Amino acid sequence: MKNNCEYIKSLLSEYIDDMLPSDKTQEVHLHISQCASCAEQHRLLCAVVEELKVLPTEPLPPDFLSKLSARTDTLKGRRFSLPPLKGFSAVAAGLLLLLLIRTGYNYYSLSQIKTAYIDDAPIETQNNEPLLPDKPTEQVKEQKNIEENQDKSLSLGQNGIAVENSSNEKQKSKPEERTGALQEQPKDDKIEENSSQESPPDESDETEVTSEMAETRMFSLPVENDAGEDAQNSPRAARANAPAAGGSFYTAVHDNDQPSFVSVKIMVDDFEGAAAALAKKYGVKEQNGEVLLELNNDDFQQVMNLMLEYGARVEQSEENELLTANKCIIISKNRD
Amino acid sequence: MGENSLIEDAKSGNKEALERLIEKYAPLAFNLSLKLMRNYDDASDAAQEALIKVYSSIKKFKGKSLFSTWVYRITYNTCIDLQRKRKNNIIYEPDETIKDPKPLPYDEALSNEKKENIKKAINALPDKYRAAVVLRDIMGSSYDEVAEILRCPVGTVKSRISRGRDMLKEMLSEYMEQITPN
Repeated sequence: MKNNCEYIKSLLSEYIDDMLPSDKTQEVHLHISQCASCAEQHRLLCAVVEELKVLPTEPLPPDFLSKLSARTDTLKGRRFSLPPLKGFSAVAAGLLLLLLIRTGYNYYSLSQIKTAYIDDAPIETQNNEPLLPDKPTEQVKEQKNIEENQDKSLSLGQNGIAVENSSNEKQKSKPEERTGALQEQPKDDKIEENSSQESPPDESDETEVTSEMAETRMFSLPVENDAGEDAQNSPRAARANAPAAGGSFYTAVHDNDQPSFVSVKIMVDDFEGAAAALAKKYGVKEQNGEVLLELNNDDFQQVMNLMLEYGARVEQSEENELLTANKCIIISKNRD
Repeated sequence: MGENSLIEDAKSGNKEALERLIEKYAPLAFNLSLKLMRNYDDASDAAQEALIKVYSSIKKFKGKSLFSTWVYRITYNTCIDLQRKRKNNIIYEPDETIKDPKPLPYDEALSNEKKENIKKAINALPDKYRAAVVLRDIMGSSYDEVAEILRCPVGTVKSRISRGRDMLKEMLSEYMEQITPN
């Protein structure tokens, strides 16, 4: 009888919601008419549910609607100015990058300038405070690595076009190398990874060339607003082949030597495929319809490029807190 | 004007219709946020964010679900995001309090703080159970709607609701015995 009672108790919640098939409903009904213990459990459960149903609705905070109204007014004004600006900056970034690649621009010279204006637009939406706490030891070590790699950077930079040719092979081999490091380290340590130790100095393509410039990088992300239906509906291939529209992700160096991180929500067409790929490469599991990752810049870029294959649309969160790693939330495009 | 026509007007760019919709659903979004966030100010922030999203993406609403389900889903997702931002990611972690659920004190249960006792018990639930129970029993959503809001199968919703209710029953057992005599 006890085992049967446990079984009946497991059905009580659905029983009171009339969600059981008729045979099970009969079974529970018969049982609680004969078993005092289960009948008591049924009575208590009904009482709890009734109490929840009659909980009073809390009134809105006094200034809630006025604040909301002020925000929607702001939104109305912004709607006419922001999208063209964002579109313009994306096109400008793409043209600049194309120009650099076509002319075989000496990336080493760029590293001397230590400023690349390719990808500032999305980051400007963040606050201007330093995004990482000071890490003097790390910085000294990183600077040392930069100096050690300088000769290699020079030879690489002198051959800007040759760099582009070997990019695919290098990119394919990179995730596997990184995966081990990522899985071996505890989550909190991910942000401490010294990317200079993991990035081979002879890596190529426009992304990896910039990894020679310095250890501190930012990423250019195609930021779209919530109402960006057109971008959402555009074919995956078109996105992947259109750098100016955010089809690829770039790294760059900025004047301050502080690593900067971003928090992004990546909405993909094929969530299951994306989750499986991330599970395979990084050992992370999907939870409740999303995959959460905290990544250093190298891995972040790998993930971004990987997600493009699954129709990624990226929204950058406007976080006010200090970020200690790139935060990615991968969800299905249809979730929101 | 019926809600459906209000929604259609809002989607076609009628700001007044959209604002009326937002105003109508603001209390629901706020009350859902309040149950999910545990904190009044955070709940207010989350509800504001959610309603701004509703405002700015009304054209995305295709009418495949109830409008309330759509609003709840946006609100729920916004609450998750905000909790994560607050470094208080308790969505998948059980609360300490639930590891050893204790009935609330007898005297307290008998007092006029009935509402507070139930709120405390709800707040003590792990987030995934709380979300399912709140949506079902407080917001009045069906199992299918809860599944759509939480983006999980109906079977999962059933087990979360059942488990959540059982936890509440354990926490409120003494109190419930008093207020529901045989």
